[in-house]
This record gives sequence, C-alpha cells and structure tokens, in this order.
Amino acid sequence: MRLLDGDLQPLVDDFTTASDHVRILLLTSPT
Amino acid sequence: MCLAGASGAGAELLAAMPTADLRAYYVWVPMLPSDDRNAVLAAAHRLSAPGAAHYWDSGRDLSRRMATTLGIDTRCSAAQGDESPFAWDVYLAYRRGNRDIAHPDFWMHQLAVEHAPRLELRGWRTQVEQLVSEFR
Repeated sequence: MRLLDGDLQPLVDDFTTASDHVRILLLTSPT
Repeated sequence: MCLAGASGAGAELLAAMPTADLRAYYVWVPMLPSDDRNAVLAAAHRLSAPGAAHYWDSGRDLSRRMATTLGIDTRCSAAQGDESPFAWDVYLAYRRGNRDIAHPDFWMHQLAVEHAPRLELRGWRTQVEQLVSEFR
C-alpha cells in the first residue's frame, strides 16, 4: 500500500507505465 | 457498500479473469472516522491479488480532482462538513493506450449521479471484458 499524502505522482506514474494494459481504478472507502 | 463494491468490481473481476491483460488500482479514501491507515491495510490485505495495487488517498486529492473531470458536484458527493465535491464509490475503466487517468473510457458509481450508470456488477464486467477483448 502506498500513501499518496498529497502527491498523486506515484499513482499516475504506475498508471501510465501500465498503459499497454486495460486498467480499472476503484476509488472508494476502506470500510 | 464501499468495500463490497470494490471487492465486486475489482477482486472478483480479477479472480474471474486470471489470464486477462488487466490491472487494478484501488485508491482508498477516508469517508468515515474509522477509515484510517489500519482500515486501508486491512482492505488492501483482503483484496490483495496479482495485478492489483493499493493507494491511500488520505487527503482526498484524487477524489477532488476526479470530481471535477467526472462532473460530480457537491450535492452528489459531499459528506457532512465538506464543501468541495469529491468522487468516491466510483469505478473507472481505461482501454489500452489511455494514459490520462482523469478521463476513463467507462465509469460507474454508487452516488446520486445521473449522467453515468450506477454500479451493476454484470454490466461492469461486460464493459471491462469488452475492453480486454479489443485488438492489441
């Protein structure tokens, strides 16, 4: 698990690096 | 429905398509006082799978950004005490080659939004399967 802490770049980088794959992003709460 | 929605739209989909060219990004956001780091670690452990990655958006930064691009207003999304809209309980899908996280090719939600379909797991799976089956 990565803490974004105001910096979305790690997520954006991971997402972009995998752009030759189909990707799903699930934005929700943990409980 | 939050964790259940993520499980159905994410973990169950990955499990049903183990050989698919599919990656899942779970971005956890706090909505309740109990939504803390420990809750995220538990959710990430529960939904751990090959092809899955987990992130903790403690400041709701991605949520606010996505609310703007998805056209989600405060009426539909705000929790008590919040003034700016944010996206949560949203499920986004991207075809190969889409490098813009702010603009999914398809999305569903569990909000009071009318310009996109509500999450329905069979429809969600069909849409993702269509993206996976597209020519590489």
